[in-house]
Amino acid sequence: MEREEVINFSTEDPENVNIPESLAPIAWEFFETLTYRMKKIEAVSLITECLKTLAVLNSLRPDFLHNQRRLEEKVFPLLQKLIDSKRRNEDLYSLADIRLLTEATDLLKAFVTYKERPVKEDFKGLMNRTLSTITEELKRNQEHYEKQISGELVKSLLEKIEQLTS
Amino acid sequence: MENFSSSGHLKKVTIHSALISFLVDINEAKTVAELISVHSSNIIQNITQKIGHLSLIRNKNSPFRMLVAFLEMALPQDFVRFVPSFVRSLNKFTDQYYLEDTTGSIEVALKLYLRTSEFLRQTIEADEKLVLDTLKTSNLLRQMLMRIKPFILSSDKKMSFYSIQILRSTFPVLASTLICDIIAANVIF
Repeated sequence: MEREEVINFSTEDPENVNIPESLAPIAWEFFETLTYRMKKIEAVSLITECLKTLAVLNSLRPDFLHNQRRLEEKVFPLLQKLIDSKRRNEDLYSLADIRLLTEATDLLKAFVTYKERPVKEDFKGLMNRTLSTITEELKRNQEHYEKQISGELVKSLLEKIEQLTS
Repeated sequence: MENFSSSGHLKKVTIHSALISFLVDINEAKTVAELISVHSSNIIQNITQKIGHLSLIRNKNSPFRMLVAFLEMALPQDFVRFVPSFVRSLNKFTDQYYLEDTTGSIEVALKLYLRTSEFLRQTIEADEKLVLDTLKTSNLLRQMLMRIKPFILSSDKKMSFYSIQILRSTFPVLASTLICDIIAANVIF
């Protein structure tokens, strides 16, 4: 009888594929790949896609990005790197950059407002300083951004940053 | 395979029999949704056959366009029951394309994975039970994700873009499975 059970084993049987935590192992498996993809700062639209993916993950399992300080230590430094490189080269933000920053601000807001896991003050300070760099740049060249990019998009981003940093 | 001629086109006899069956159904005054429902198996089979013969097909995008058109008209249950076999076929062909490296084939496969995972995400929002009942006995999404993972880091931006989107659209489905399992665990223990 036991022998027969072994022979009839199938990976498609419910008891053999009933993974109790389906999203968590997938998130573990793909997180490093996503952050590696985000290191290529020239592919701005792909970084935005990665951020959108992390935002969906965060909405479903907010603990994931808090655990092991994943957002603080793996995701946020990549954003800082992008913003610093723009500032250093005195590059203006493109439309893709503004979209990326909007997505990043939304993710940061969802992250810091998760009540179960309060964010440490040192990260809040760092985040506020980085976001104020963006605000300064947008205000310094406000006319250009409103005319060349989109007044509405820029205004919305400034409002989001203000809400997050206040 | 047997429905294709040596040039890769569907044999006339297959088209004729499908057409006759279709005309009989029209005669019986079926609605479009009913017609699609009755013929869904044939349509999916036709799409799968085209994927298997991509190298012979001039318009490589045609299986994707067929799937999009089908999903626009079909009811969710007309596709969801075929998802496991459809994805298994797609996996099989994708594995071949890895080896053969036929230009454009992997991209078509990624687009089909994306449309399928988007379909599951949209359907699960409307009818969670319908999707979970179909998928709970299968490690389907993991098998799909295992294949798209290398393309996230692809230098081809389009491939990377599709792969990230596929991953994102599977999250709600994976999360729903978890919710279901937690409920089941609480009931049992």
